[in-house]
Amino acid sequence: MSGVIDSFKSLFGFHSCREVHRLLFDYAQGTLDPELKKRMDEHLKDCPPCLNYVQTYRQTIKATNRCCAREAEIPAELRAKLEDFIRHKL
Amino acid sequence: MQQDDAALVQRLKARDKSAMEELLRRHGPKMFGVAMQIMRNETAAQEVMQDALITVWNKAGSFEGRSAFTSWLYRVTANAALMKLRKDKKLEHNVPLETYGGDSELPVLQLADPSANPVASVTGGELSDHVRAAIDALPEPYRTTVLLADVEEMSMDEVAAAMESTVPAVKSRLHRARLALRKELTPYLKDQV
Repeated sequence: MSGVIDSFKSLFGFHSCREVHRLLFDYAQGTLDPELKKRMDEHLKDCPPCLNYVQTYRQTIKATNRCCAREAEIPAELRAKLEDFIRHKL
Repeated sequence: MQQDDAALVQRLKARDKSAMEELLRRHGPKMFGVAMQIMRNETAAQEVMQDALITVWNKAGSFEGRSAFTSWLYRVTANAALMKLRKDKKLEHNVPLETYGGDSELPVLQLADPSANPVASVTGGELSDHVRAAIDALPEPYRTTVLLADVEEMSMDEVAAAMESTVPAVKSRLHRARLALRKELTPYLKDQV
């Protein structure tokens, strides 16, 4: 049975930088299978280009998350319209 | 749920209209922020706010408290914005990338020229301006997917439900959008994040 599992892992595991790209989304999301994550971490230790790729991918997510104002002040005129809408149209 | 929000929800369930005004004061700026993120236009955002307020007023009675009230509120707002985008036919798939193969073979999205965004060209260099311009240069539905998932931090399930899509499709779009943004932003990311 363990041979079948090993074959499965080998088939869907990664042996090259190409696999890093394939698994990058789940790796960044934190949803990658723990065994694959461990092997990917090991690969990244020895592969500066892949490490850079993963880091810039994560930096992109972080920058995107921080870029945009989460709140926007409602202009006074619009606020008045919305209050009127609540009072008379709901 | 915050104590204040719990009381607010109870008032909404009791059809207390003054609770809607309280909701607008307390959560309006965030709702408006969500509407503006997606619509990028104050007039359209106003319509979205009105639609969202109608939904809150009509559906507050069925809010069960399984998620935070604010999360529900922002999902309602995002949904209202997406419905408007659909109505205005701005959420059509205008980039035929869904037919490509595995992730490792994904072509990077071709962004519209982000430098054409006046915000970036005027302020010239802040990372957030470059990010905003790059997001706005993404074609739909990639732009909205990134906004909902990576800016508004909605789960894959929530994004899929809001966009009337599937989780695998959302993941694929999000990944492609991130790769496109990464390609565009890498020169500005160094030492800044």
